[in-house]
Amino acid sequence: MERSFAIEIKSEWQGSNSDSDMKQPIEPGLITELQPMDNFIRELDAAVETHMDWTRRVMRCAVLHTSPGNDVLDPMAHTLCHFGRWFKSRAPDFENLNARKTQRVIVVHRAMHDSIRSICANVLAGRPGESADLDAFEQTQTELIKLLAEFKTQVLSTAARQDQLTGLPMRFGIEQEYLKFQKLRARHNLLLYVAMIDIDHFKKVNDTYGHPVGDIALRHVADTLKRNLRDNDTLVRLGGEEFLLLMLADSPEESTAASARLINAVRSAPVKISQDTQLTLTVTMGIARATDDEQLGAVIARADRSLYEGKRAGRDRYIYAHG
Amino acid sequence: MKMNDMLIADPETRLVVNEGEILDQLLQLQDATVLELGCGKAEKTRIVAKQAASVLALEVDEIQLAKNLAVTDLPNVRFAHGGAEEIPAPDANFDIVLMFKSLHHVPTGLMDRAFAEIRRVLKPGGVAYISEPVYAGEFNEVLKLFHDEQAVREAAFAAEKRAVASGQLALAGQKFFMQPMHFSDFAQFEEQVLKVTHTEHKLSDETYQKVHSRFNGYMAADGATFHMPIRVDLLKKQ
Repeated sequence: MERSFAIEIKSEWQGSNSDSDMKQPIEPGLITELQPMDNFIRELDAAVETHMDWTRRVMRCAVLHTSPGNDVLDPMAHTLCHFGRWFKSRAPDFENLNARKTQRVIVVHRAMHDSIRSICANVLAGRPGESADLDAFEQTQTELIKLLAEFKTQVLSTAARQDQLTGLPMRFGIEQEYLKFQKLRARHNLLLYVAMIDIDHFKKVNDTYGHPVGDIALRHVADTLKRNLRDNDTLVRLGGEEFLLLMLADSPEESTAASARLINAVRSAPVKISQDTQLTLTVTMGIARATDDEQLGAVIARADRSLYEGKRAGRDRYIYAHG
Repeated sequence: MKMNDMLIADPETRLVVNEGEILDQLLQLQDATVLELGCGKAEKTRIVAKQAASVLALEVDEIQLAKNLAVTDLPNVRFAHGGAEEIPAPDANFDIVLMFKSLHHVPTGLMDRAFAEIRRVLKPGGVAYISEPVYAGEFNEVLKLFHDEQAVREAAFAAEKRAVASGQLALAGQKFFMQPMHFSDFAQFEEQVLKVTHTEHKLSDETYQKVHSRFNGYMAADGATFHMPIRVDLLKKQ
């Protein structure tokens, strides 16, 4: 029972890359891995459940005087248990989320195993258990579960702000970002540009090749744009095939150079959609320079008009809003 | 930049912007003494006058000049009659000489003289900003039906190259961009393009019909938008 539960958990953790739902006969490896976030949450939930279960294991040991298993009694139990192994393998992800809490999980998890081992060793040797061990067990278990729950909340809230397909942030929070850019603009005497970027003829890609290829194309353009951003540029996926870019520049020339780079990068990086087919995609950019204290909605409206104008006049170009 | 690098067109141009932005990027207009050759309706003159110390704006078209002379709200601008081939100004008088899509209107045989004149009136270190429409794009597709400028535009570019090759002026840079143009309907196109006073366009009924139908091919619900490719050459007097 114990073992099978552990195996079930393990298979759930390790079987996350099962591709049973990938039915499209498209170039392997080009399909975006949409699932890692979901798996991460599932793995986290499983970890929490396993550690909740320790209470039951300790109680069985205390009442029945049966061994909770050699893995529990091993001094290195915290590195042998499934959670320990899984957590170690995902440590970089956890550290990205919060390095300090990650360290705390390691410390608390180890302390919890130490207290369990001590409790069980006493029981099995016929000695009364130490109340300090029991307290330590309860405290560390509570803290561990609390830490994992906090990670889960963080992952879920990030997921809500992040587009799973392109890995770009979504429009949520863009107002705050814009205000931050406005402050930077004023403080450093820079120019702030807001650009609307739209993939040309994207509907045709979807209609001709289907939505899975549309997704590949979308992710490819997003990646190309990302690779060609400057350090402080912020790119957001607004939805559909439309992106929004916040860009600070010392001069109009710098802004035109940065925009040209994006437009040219997309045009010169065709996307491979099958072994022998590649598509050349282009984008049109409408750009507006934000004036002092201009509301984001107003700048976007101007940039959007330029985008529309660029679409009508031929696409694959960047248009600065004019009066 | 060498003369051999000088391009008449750049099909890779993707930048769409008003020329005012390009002026700001390429020139130091602030407090400059400026000459504009072929100022037409003085639309650019107004933009330049905001920063320049003074502008002498010349126009050969008498009808347009008369209208310009009636302008009263540009105190630092003086409008006068004059062509690029014979500039009514002393030697070494200007920091900047501007020609907005006017070089190809200079009679072909006078273009070399125009450059000699530009050199004469520029101060040492001064620059000539010459913008010319590139013979390409959708607007040109409509325009060339009744007014094909290919020959004069090529002649203008050849004259620029000669001015550079002879050492009169040095090529300081080139910039390509697209100028946005919008017409809400054909009537507006007719008013602004067909009825300009500097060139008399006499269209046969057949040509008029062709122009009308090609223009309509670009019409959307709110009018027709064109992005006209433009070349800017910056020539410096050393």
